[in-house]
Amino acid sequence: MNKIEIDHLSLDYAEKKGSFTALQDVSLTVKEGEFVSIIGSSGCGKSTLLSVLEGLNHPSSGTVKINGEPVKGCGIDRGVVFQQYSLFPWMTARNNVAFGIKQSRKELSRAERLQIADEYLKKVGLDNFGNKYPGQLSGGMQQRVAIARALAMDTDILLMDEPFGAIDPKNRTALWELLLELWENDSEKKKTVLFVTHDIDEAIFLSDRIIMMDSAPGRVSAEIEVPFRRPRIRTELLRSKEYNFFKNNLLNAFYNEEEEVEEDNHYIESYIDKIAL
Amino acid sequence: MDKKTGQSNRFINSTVILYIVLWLLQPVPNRTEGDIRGIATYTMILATVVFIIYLAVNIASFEKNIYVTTKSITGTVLAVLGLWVILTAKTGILEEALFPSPEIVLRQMFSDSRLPGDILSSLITLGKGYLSALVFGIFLGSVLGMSKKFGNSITYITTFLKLIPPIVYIPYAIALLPRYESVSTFVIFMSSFWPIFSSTYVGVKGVEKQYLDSAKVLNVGFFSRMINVILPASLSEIFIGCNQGLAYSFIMLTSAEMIGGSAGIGYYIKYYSNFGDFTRIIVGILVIGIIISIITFLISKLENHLLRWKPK
Ligand SMILES: Nc1ncnc2c1ncn2[C@@H]1O[C@H](COP(=O)(O)OP(=O)(O)OP(=O)(O)O)[C@@H](O)[C@H]1O
Ligand SMILES: [Mg+2]
Repeated sequence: MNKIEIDHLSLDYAEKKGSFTALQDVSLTVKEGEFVSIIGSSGCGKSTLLSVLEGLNHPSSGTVKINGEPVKGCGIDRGVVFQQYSLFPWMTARNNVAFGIKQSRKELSRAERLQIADEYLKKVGLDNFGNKYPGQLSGGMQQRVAIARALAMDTDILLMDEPFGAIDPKNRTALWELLLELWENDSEKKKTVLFVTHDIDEAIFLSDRIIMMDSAPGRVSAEIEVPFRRPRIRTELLRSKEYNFFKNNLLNAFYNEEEEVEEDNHYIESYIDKIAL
Repeated sequence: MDKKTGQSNRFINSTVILYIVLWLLQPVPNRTEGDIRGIATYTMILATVVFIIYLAVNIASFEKNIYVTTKSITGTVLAVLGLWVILTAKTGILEEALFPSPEIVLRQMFSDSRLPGDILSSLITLGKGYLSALVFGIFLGSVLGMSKKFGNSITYITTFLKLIPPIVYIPYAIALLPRYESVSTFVIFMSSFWPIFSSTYVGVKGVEKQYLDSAKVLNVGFFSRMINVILPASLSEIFIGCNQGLAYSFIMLTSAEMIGGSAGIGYYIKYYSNFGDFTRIIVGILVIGIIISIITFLISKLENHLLRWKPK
């Protein structure tokens, strides 16, 4: 079943003189329970695309449907992690998470909400920081609180905009595993995830499918199925030949889209060597 | 070196010296006629009480800023008492009829039977006027600030109305309102409403989009959004108006009571100035000063508490 259906979506931002086309004729479907990543150069409209799904922006033309219904506005079926900090600085980390839970799971008592909040803060490695205000946390820690909030809200759909961009490699790999675990096992229904990233390894390791976007105007340039079976063991996968072959192709496809970047296999190979180390 | 102040000794410092000087002044004979001979009981009780509080804080080793605050308040009280008694009773430099000595003023202050009633009346007037301005100002300011229909027109109107000195409302209030107490309440309301309303409006209008977007994607309802998102986000702005309104209120409280009141501390001063009773006039001035200091102090504590999440 299609959870998300985007059909010939275009979006123009109104500007002082005329308008700016951020998305042009984007069509995309995401099946229920699917994990889809979006990669593409900076400014190609990834955040804009998510904002339409979040209900914060409206299509200039085309349609966007969730569960077969056109998106009218924001809804509690979608958990969101913004690219920029989305926490309320006047609430402690725990209260930020609990406030999110309160919105999506109204049946819970305050004590239950706080308990779940603590549980999820622990999962993202912030068990001792529940009483801190966002202003007292580092950027990566704030982002982890925002992730904890989105996950704790237990929504059908997760829309995540570069959630792990500001997080150190050790915590990031831990969060990959946490996200996959929650995606696969947390509730009866598998969550549907749309995940923006600039990190190719992250995209391959996490997703079922990778969408590549290109800029000026923002559009979908390629869709690639990720062939690796689950459960994926990160260390084994990264070392395998198939993985490097796949990644090489992906990078090729990615750089071919970028007109400014010269087609240069040496460059790509040395790039792969660097990250493989 | 003292770890708390970084410079002065804990037990031999200006505060202690001031206290000792105050005692040494006691045997000096008075040059004025009205003052009692011997020890100035009220003065020395007051001095001793503040000094003991200072010592207690000093010994109990509270945080540095509590210690420093206590020390400066104690020092100021002792210095003012010392200077005052020297300029009046001990030397007679200041005219006795206009500037009674601290002993006479303090004795009057603590034995005055109508003073508590007047203080209470002023506090009630202030409370009614200011609190209703707070409720209406914040409510209307945030509702209008949240609605998209009103643009800058409201800001122009409030900027204009804010500039009107609230004292001009007094003649209208006297003409329109049935009772004297309601005149003072109304004038305080008018003088604090505009600053509170306009700062709330500006604060709410200026709430950053990222917070509003966060609230939207979390599907936060209208009232929860107002209480949990919009008000906290604009709170420091709102406090600017509240403090300004409070300052106006204090000025207007005494003015209104002096012009059209029949009770309250402003009326107390006005009433005794008709008899040229400068002891009671000074009592009234001191009481107003003390009340304003206490309220301002409490509000700044409240502000610090509510904005404790702000990174310094
Ligand atoms: N509110 C706006 N008004 C006008 N133009 C905008 C607005 N938001 C984004 N844009 C423009 O739309 C384009 C796409 O922006 P968007 O934020 O979606 O990019 P992105 O793919 O998320 O980039 P990044 O990887 O850097 O986050 C950019 O050229 C940007 O300048
Ligand atoms: Mg973006």
